[in-house]
Amino acid sequence: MDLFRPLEASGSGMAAERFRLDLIAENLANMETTRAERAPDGSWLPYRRKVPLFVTRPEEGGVEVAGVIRVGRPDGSDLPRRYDPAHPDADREGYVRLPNVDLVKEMTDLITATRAYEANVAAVNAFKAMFRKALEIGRA
Amino acid sequence: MVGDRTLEGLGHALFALGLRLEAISENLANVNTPGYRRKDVFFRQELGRFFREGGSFRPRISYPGPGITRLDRSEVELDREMVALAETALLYEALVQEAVFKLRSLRTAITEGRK
Repeated sequence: MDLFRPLEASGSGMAAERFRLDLIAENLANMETTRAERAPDGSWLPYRRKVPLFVTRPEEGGVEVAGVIRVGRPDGSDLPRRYDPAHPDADREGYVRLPNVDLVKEMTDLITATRAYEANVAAVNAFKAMFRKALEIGRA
Repeated sequence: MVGDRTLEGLGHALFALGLRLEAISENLANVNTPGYRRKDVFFRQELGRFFREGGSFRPRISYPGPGITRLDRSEVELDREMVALAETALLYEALVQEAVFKLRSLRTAITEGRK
């Protein structure tokens, strides 16, 4: 048994939740971005919401980020539309496709990620306390 | 006093609590992992058996299953894990205290005999 395995697990959890926070920040920053990538025909596509994919590490324990999922269809056809004829990216009818970033969803994810991060920190602190306490046996 | 199983049993219990901390840490790391199955370590019965019969000590890592059903199919309940974490850390401290006390009494018995 590896002595510091619990710390490894907690560390991986903290890293994963921090990564989720990064993605949330990116999503929020791109709430109105209509030009995120080029479609095959050369036209601009709006930003699509990114979410992390977490998987359990079977060997080392803990969690890792297996990838980033971009929510929605790649051609942007299911993104919300807003009527704004003056917008440079409006289509012929005057509608603009906007990113599928939902402020409420991002904020709840933000809270979830923060709480999960704190839980991992608590596990680290418990490990440290137990480790220190175990050293007292040697001083008996 | 040296011959009884108390110290050895305490060591086993501390080892099992270390395993339990590991399981809880992994659960907490996977609190947002879809489909994750939570782990726990049970050793109360095994420890009782050790004190009665002696022999080897094998704590059991098991998957007790979900208490609630979450939409993302992760079995981890944050509150339950935090309680288990506090419980594990406190019990660990208590048992270390007990081991220290036991060792001190042994030392006293040895040194007092020299006088």
